[in-house]
Amino acid sequence: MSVLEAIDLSIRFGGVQANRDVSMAIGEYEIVGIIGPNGAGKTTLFNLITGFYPPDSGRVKLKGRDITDLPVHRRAGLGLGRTFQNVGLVKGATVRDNLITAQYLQADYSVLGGMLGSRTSLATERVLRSKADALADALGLGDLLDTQVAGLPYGTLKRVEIATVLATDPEILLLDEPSSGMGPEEAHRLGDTLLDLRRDFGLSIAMIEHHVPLVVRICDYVYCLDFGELLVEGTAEHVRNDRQVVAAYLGEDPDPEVLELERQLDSLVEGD
Amino acid sequence: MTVTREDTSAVGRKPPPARFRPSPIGWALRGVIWLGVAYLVLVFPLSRPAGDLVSYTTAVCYGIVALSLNVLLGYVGQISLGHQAFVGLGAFTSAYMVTEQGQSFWVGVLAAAAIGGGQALVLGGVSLRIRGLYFALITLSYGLVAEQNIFQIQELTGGGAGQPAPKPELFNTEWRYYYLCLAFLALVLLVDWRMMRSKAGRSLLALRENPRVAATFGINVRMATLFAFVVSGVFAGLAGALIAHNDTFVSPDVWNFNLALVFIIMTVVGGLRSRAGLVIGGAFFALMPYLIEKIPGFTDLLAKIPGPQDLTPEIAPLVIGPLLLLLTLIQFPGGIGQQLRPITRWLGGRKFDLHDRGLKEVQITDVRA
Repeated sequence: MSVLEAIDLSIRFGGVQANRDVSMAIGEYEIVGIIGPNGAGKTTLFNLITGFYPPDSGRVKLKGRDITDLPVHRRAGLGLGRTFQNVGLVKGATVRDNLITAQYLQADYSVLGGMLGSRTSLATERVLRSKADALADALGLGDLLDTQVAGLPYGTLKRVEIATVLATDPEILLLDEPSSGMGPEEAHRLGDTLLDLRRDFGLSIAMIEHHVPLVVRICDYVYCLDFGELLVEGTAEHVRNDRQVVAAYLGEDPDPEVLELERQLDSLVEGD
Repeated sequence: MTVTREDTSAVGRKPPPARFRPSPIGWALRGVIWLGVAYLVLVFPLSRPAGDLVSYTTAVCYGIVALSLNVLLGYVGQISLGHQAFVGLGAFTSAYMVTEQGQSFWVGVLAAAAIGGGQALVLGGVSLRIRGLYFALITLSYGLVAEQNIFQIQELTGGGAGQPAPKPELFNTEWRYYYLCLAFLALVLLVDWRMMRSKAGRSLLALRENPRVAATFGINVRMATLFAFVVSGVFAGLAGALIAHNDTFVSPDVWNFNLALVFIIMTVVGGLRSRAGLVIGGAFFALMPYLIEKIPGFTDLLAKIPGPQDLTPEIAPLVIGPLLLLLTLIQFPGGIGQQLRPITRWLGGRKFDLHDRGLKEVQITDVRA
């Protein structure tokens, strides 16, 4: 059974059909890759699934439950975690503070109790802190706990971000270009990490990824998007050898208008 | 486990560096400074006349106002241009409860805090769908509405005559009341400190920097912003009540837009997200007219400046304030708090480090509408 299903998602931004009838499914403990040229609508698909945009049509189902109308933070509470293309972290805080902040939903005490320093809140805070330390250790970030996030190298930021999303206690992880800013070796090690995480945390993962060797190595299933539509799906091997996919990457250039619009939209949401 | 190039030391975790411990002489030096501060705050006022104590108490109350605005401006990055209405309504509520309803001072203070939070809940519930400049505009309009309508309601405010606000029985001298206000300031500081060390405060800092990321952490961004607004309102209402009973009289015409400006300037100049800076900033602006009066001959000099009105030291915060604001925004976005940070850290038992600017350094972009 799929833990996450996107059914015929469509969204239009002005004159651009960013996603048209895109369907995808992630099975339990599966790693699914989403590839496609720039401007193909991959991040838009993530934004639809996580609830940042309401789709014009189509549904999103999490473990069989329709979550299309739920706000972002409620979806997070149901076990949907995501990372961002341009690193979703609180940059002014330390790595540890990020990891503790991300455990917001596990901080099981009343807001008022926290403000008055109740016994439960203090005890819970200690638990959150040790969990943050453990997670950082698990991802090889133990030495950086007290370091401010802003100023860390990009590849490290991506790892910190993965640790942060894990802190939200997700069942499904949506990773937006986790290997960007990493060299080939580092990307290879990221692959190992993701396989470990799937095993240790029982995760199902969907990742937008440009680094083809990584996709081929760890993805059980791959979707290729182009111009907002699903081009091909299948096993990594199958998709890689598909003539249409090769054409999409090497053949025609992506529409510059689409690229520009997506960039503008991104900056609009960022500035929000 | 995998190791990236940047953190090659991740295999074995480095033992944490030995924590700095001051020498006995270091502790003694810190103790002397602490005693000096304690003397200035706790003992020095005893030797002053009652009139001065009123100014000192106002300074303490302005510290609470600065902490109140900081919750909005410093923690969630929203600006309120109508905070004088929040404080003012608190003042009138308490005065009304005590004078018209015959309730005790404590009931009045509680009611003021509740009304402060309540109006923030209503105003924020309606208007916090929008952020930034437009939210600021709504608070600005609210301030003007309060000034021209709510504060003119005869029953609540006594109309143009104002509302008497007697001091509580146990604290009926200026000195005793000063210590009472200090206790309230300590309470607000404590709550603020615990808030920032618990999930509520962390969620505010996260959403200020990046609401999208905060949402993926499971934080309900709008509710958290509204929560901050309510906390700010409660602090403001409390400060208002304390100011009312300090002056023993609330007049409707002091709660104007000038005051809202002074509140914002003192908060930013004091230093966002720095509790010490905020209290000092608030106190400094409250004491500014008082200090200027102490300059020999200066008041006479002011009176000689030709103009439609006589210049009084009362306008000093609005003349000096903007200059300090300019200096803060351009040179020291962290305000007084940032400048004092090496000293406050040192007083807390750390090593003296002149260049310690802290992790949560205030950027100029933080101070935005």
